[in-house]
Amino acid sequence: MLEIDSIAKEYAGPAGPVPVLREFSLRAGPGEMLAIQGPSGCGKTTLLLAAGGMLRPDQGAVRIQGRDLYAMDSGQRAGIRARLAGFVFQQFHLLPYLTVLDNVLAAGLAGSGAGLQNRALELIERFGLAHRRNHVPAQLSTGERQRTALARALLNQPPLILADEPTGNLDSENGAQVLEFLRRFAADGGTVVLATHEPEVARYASRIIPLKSLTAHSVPSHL
Amino acid sequence: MRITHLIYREIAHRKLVFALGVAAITVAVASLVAEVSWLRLHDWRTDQILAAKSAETKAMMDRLEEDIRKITVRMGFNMVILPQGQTLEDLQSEERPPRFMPEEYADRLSTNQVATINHVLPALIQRLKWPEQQRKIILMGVKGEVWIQSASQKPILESIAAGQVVAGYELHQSLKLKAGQKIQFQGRELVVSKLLPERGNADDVTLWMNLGEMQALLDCKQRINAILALECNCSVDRLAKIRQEIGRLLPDTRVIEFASQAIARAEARNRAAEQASAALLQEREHRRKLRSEQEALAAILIPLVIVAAGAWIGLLMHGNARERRSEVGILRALGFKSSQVLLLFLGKAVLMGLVGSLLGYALGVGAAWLRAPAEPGVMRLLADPRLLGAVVLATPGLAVMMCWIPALLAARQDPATILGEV
Ligand SMILES: Nc1ncnc2c1ncn2[C@@H]1O[C@H](COP(=O)(O)OP(=O)(O)OP(=O)(O)O)[C@@H](O)[C@H]1O
Ligand SMILES: [Mg+2]
Repeated sequence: MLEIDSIAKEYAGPAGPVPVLREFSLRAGPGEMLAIQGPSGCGKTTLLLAAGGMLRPDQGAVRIQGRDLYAMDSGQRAGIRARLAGFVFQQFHLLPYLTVLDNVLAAGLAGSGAGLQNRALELIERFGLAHRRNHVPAQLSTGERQRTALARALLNQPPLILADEPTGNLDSENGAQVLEFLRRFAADGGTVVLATHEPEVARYASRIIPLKSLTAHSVPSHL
Repeated sequence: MRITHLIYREIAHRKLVFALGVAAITVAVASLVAEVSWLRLHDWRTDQILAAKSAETKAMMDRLEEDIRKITVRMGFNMVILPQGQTLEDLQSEERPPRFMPEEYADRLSTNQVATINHVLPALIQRLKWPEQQRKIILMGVKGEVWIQSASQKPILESIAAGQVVAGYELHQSLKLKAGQKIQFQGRELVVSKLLPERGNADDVTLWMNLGEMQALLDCKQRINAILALECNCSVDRLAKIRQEIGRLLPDTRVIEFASQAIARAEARNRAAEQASAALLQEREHRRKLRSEQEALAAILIPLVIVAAGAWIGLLMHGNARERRSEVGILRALGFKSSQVLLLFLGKAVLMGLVGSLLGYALGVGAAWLRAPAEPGVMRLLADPRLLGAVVLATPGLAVMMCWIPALLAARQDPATILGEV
């Protein structure tokens, strides 16, 4: 499903290049739920963006269903994002002027599925947002925003979910609910790759991949 | 959900950007429409003014023409051709021996159209004694007019059949003549066929008879001593030419024009016509000047307003695109194609253009209407669906052009770099 082949990424910092990923590889098949676990700043988000076809690595290749994302043009890559990969951002990135329902449906504009309205309502219902469906993000709690983002990622029924700290802003009960959902998604044949710095979250995964910071100064683990 | 919904929601979210864009377009379109409408109104008004003026002129000319017609009809002929050496006074004097010219001269004059002479009346005029009545009269022999122009023209003097006479006012009054009455003239019996009303000139003491009869009476067959004519368009400066032409055509004659009212009137009319056409020309020139002044102003102002509005919209959309960087990033992350993102921006530009052009059109027409006279037909003139159509089609197109670059830049952005996520 997802193949990451020895990718490398470094950012330009004020004092020279900042290496974030080096010779990183992973494979995730259907039915798998992978947790990328590491401290803050180790490159989890960078990795997920590269995996989702949103950030071109300096080296290596990313393949989804065998198709090399960075060998195709940006339009085709957008098509892959729309159909094959649902992304849940660490900061949710909902459109501020759309209601919960419309935010979920916005993903449908990129894909071309039918019956989106019903599916969106179903997802909203499932994530306990039915009573908030006509609210805009500013009127939502953080947890509600997170669940809206998750519902949006699932609208086009992608086989792959990439979730960046999906429970980072949720209380333990809501967090457990989301993780349970992701586990079921994997059990139903989907592939989940989530990034987290919390070992409890990682425990839901079928496989944990630790990510170490390449820079010397690592953040104290209690942060 | 459709992409238009996304456009509407974004517009509603950032109303100010939209309102400012619409305002700029509205101002530009309104000034364009107002200008076009104003020019149209101007042309319409010009047509009205010129039509009114020329109608007025025509009415005046008709009036003058009618005056002239009346005068000429009342007065008769305005030109007389006499044998060389003869004067008008000679015609009515007994002392001078009469001079003659061939009667055929009248036909010659009529067959060779000279200027605008259109009534030709050969006549024999003589002052003589009416022996039976023991008084002097003017005897005038006429044979009826020789036509030059259309037969529909009313003869100034009707012909008189042989054996008949027409009596002038003083004659029939003093001699108590009645129509149909038989009279004796130099031994001939003649019938009074008509009594003329008072004319206040020599006509009042004139007896008219058939030309042939008078020629026989005076023993001067085929000869006449005057040709009366009516020159219709005579003005002083043309008389010399007419004279010259007649001189060539009819040797040993002279042309005397009556110092007639008709000439004065005709001249007055000609002058009035000249003045009227000069005034019309002046008015037209004045209107043209006004228009070109307005056009010159518009030629500077309108491109300026359009360029300013275009630049303003480009700037607004550039700012909008920057403001929407993360939004575009989200959409791109969701799998929106660049073209879809482009569509979002251009769709907004089209809407701006549509709303702005409609408002601007209404405003422009309204502004023109305020300046327009309250007359029927003005609104129909101003509310031109073709102008509306052109504006509504062109404006969104221009707005799209102005937004193209910011929109393209926004659409091209890589999803990750925009998100500020990494
Ligand atoms: N655009 C950038 N330019 C320079 N450095 C960057 C940029 N984006 C991220 N980095 C650096 O790259 C490193 C990895 O960032 P990344 O966001 O992937 O970490 P992360 O593991 O997701 O951290 P967190 O758990 O806090 O979300 C960080 O040290 C960060 O400072
Ligand atoms: Mg992160």
